[in-house]
Amino acid sequence: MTSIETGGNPPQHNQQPPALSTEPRWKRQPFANHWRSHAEDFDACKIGMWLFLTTEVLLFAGIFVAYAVFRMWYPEAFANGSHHLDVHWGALNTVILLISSFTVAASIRNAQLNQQGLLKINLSITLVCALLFMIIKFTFEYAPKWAEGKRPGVWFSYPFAADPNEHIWWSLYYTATGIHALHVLIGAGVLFVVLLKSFKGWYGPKHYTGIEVAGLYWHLVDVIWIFLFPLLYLIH
Amino acid sequence: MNPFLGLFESARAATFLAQQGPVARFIFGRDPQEATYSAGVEGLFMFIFWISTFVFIGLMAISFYWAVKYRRRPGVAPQRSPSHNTALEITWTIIPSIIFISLFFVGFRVYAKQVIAPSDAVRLDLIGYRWGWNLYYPGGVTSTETLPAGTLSASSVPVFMFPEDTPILLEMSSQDVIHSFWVPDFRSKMDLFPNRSTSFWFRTSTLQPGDMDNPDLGYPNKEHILYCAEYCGDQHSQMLGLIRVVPRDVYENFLRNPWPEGISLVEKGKLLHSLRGCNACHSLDGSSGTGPTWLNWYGYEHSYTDGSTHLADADFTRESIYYPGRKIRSGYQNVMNSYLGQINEEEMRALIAFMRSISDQGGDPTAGFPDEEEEETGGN
Amino acid sequence: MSTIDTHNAGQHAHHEGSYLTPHGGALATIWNWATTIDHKKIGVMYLFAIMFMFFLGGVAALGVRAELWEPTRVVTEVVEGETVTSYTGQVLVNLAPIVPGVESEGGISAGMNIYNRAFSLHGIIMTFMVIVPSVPASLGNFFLPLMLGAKDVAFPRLNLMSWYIYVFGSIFAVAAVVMGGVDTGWTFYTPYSTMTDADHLRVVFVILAAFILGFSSILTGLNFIVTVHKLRAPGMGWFDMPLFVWAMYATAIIQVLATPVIGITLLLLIFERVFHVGIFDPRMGGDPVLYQHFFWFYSHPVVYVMIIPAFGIINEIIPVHARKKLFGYRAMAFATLGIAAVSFLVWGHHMFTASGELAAMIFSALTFLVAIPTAIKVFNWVATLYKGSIAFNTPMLYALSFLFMFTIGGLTGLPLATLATDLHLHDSYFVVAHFHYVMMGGTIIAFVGGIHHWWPKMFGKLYNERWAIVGCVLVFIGFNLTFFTQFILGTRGMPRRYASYPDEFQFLHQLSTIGSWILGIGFLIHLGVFVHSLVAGRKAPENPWGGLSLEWETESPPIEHNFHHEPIVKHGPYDFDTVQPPHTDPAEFPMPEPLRPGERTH
Repeated sequence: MTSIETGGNPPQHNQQPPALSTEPRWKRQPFANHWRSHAEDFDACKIGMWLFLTTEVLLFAGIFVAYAVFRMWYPEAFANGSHHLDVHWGALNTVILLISSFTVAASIRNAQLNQQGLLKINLSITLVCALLFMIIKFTFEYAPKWAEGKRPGVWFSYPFAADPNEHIWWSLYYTATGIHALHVLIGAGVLFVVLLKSFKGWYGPKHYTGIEVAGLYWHLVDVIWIFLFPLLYLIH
Repeated sequence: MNPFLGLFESARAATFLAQQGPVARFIFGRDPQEATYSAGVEGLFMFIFWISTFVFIGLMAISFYWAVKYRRRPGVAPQRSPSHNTALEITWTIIPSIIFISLFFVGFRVYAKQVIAPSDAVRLDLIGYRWGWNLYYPGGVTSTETLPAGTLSASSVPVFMFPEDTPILLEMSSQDVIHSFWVPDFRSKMDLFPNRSTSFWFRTSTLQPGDMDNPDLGYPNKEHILYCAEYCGDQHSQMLGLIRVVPRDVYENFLRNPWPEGISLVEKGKLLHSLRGCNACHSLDGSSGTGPTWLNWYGYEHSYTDGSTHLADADFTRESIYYPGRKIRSGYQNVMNSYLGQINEEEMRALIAFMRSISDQGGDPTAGFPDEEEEETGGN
Repeated sequence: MSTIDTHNAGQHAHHEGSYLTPHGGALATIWNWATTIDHKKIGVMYLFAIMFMFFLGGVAALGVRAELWEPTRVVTEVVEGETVTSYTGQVLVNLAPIVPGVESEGGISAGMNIYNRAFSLHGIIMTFMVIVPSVPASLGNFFLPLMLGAKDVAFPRLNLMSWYIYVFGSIFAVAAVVMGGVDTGWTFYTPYSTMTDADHLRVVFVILAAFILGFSSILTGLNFIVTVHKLRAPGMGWFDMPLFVWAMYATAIIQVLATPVIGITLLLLIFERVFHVGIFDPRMGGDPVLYQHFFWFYSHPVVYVMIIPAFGIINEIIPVHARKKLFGYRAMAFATLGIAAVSFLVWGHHMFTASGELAAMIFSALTFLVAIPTAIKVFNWVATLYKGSIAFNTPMLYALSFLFMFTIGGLTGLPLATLATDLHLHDSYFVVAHFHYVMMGGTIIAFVGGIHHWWPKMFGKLYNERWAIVGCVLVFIGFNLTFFTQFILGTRGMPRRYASYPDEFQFLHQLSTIGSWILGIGFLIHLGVFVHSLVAGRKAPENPWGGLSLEWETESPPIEHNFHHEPIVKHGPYDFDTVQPPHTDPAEFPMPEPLRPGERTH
């Protein structure tokens, strides 16, 4: 009694569509030959991305735990430190990220409906939003605070600190927002590649894995900011 | 009454003989400290040990027996047997679970004895630093005795005296990195942190006339080695101490008169050099360690990392001990802790006198203490 | 996004060659391996890299044991009226001229400093570069897709990326060693790790290495989870998977969930050292205990990343070489997942001497909870031996050694989980012995057993059984001599990480050091056996042991795309009582009488 059928089942090769130059790029898109179908490949990529997002959440969880511990230890330092942040810039950045999340979601829809023009426009808006976010972060938040001496750890030299442990607050502020900003940059880089590929016609109905996973990542960047914003800016 | 406690009590009765027996002595070496939780810890360990040994030998015997009995023979097929047996599997899940739960409860009960000190305990402060211990007795007295260099393979081991038959509660903290206070004879330990206070308690045993761990002392005594158990750097293995339980009158006499009678300032400085752990970094023979040697330090000009040179006089010595980070000797790292508040004026004078005595620019150290820095090379 | 790729082999015909077939000349072959996305080649590259790192870590361990042959003795003598202090018994101090950056040139510190670097090096290499990646990255990469009947892992390019991240991280670690090594210990406890060697980059390099290696670990885990979900062969349900696959799956979950936490911890530690942000620095209001919580939140689950794959290997070796259906398959699968789940809740048991009473109590209780599924596993393995047909070859001897040592390792965990006894044993040699019995006696022993088990499949060559058994026996004797003595040292009061010790411990230390030499010889013999096999080994048949899982269906070594036809699974991986293994001769692997009508197997 053998267990494995070795006869009747022909070797599974991917049916690569013929390379017709008139066909849009996404219709000719191959998938890796260890998959049985394009749909499985797509599913796997989504599961993989969700798992990766889990790791990102846990990475930030570390920062949130440190935040919770030190806020419990030094509530005064946190309240004082938070007052030095400008809620308006923070709120504006929140709005910018929310808009960008919306446009990414819209671009996936565009790909599904084969709206190639809108797809590019929405992706571009997302990138502009990312850029705006970073500009606001650096020019209007980091730079003036750094100049005033509101710096992390030993670099802290702000002369009017009301609490001796305020440098811990600034350490956490720069660490949390800095790592988040790094994620914005990475996400923007990935979306930029997606945009370039969209100009080459890589995405279309049922073939939008790239936008889907990049969009998931971008939503995560947004969600983390949604948590960071009240925790950092809205302490009373 | 917790049912597991009953189990434990009977098990403890069963292992009582084993505790006294050669196996326990082989495993633990020295006897547990009496009249405290130590015997409980050891009893619990032996309880786990005998259960584990029984389980281990049983499992290995079965495995070995089957492995040999059912060894492969050419042309012989394996036999069929069930690959699943719910009753058996439930049994071997529940029995270990019961054992584990009871171990947890018993462990917690003994643990409570380890960490909760009686309210009448004598409170003393203990500070750990790299690489030594400072124990502060009532009235600011600290230890004044070290074992000779090389004892216990350590360069110096401070001796801490405790009165017999007394509960002691140590309030502990660290000056630099994390240390851990472990006295194997007590069968317990606790970490010392630089930013929080922890405590460790034990009850010293009642001395019998035959307890003469150190026969040279002339009175009954018991000695227990103290180790730092949390890795703390180069000389982690040198961070030892000796706990000496002494009769109460000896202890009280020590509190009244901590230094040996008729000790000179120089001799006292030499003792402090090892008691305060200076010897961990500063040698007396000219070899350089983590810090510069004290031989021919006093009265000479030395160069510092900021490019300056400075004469090592009394005031500069004082500054170097209280604010070690201000001037760093060329070729060394800024690793020394401040001794501000730990070394009082009298001890500082003793240290300086000792440094003078081992420098050929130190003048005559017996001639008194120079208050003005101009006088330091003159020697009056 | 980066998942679209095609294997560069072109059309796969039935005469497709083995994956080891060279492509063109030497340079072309090297290029082919360096850019391969074939899980088998990546697995093999991991295997050799890990073996190399094991060698480095092992040399450091021998150095540690050599230093402990004698305690450092302080000798004071009076020469020409002057008191001269000297030190004897410092073996490693002789390395001072070649170790860069030994700050204390003289005195008692120099030798101890080198000793501290040696044990830190040993711990860091063995943990982050050997045991964590060992089984999943090498054997897992190679055999997970084969056992599932897949052509590759889900994301082959990600797989190659994780290999390069591993190499990149290891280069950082080796660079730090070349720069003089670090004396932080593998746990990097603050504030020591933020203070030591303050002016040197090498500590940052090592932490960075561990951080980078974490990414490699995450990517491997992520890949495995998706592979198990999406690439099982037709007919293979979850409970038809070999338990090695279950083990990889549980391991992958832990890797994905725990590694990011060490990532942020190490990142904060780097910030602490480079920018002095103060989060873990007590002098600046930070908290070293927070660091310990962070560290063990990862590092305890990761203990199960180390040991669960070993369980997986033993689950394969014992049934195959005993020709016996594994006892309690489902219990094993659930126990594996249960261990993975509870592993996240027990980190505090590393801190019984540091944390509050309530936390200690909770963590102690949860720790016992982990012990239950572990005990079940051991009982199942022993029960599997019953009425089998047990071959005493190298893999099986290793599996039996594993049973012996892992049981000791597990049982000695009990006094460490018990609060009262842990306060005595914590940070003593008892702990050192305990985790070596689990990590080395468990994981490494199973790993070496697994390498022997799958060696013929991986390289298509048989190894010299007789010499391999000699190596196995030496490893067994050497290991137990080295580490059993350390249990007694620990209970008697020997603290860990001591470069020197009171004289009363010397005899046991010397026994332990002798054991380490025997252990070293045993591993060198294995190395010789492997080299000999690669160079002059006899050709291996497809199924030398009579295994039933899918990797034994294909050729030895497997063809480039693993299977000529996609396999369809019709039996369980351990149905040794009903299924004649593929490619085997019934004379060599006789079957029990066929089942009578109406008779059921279990």
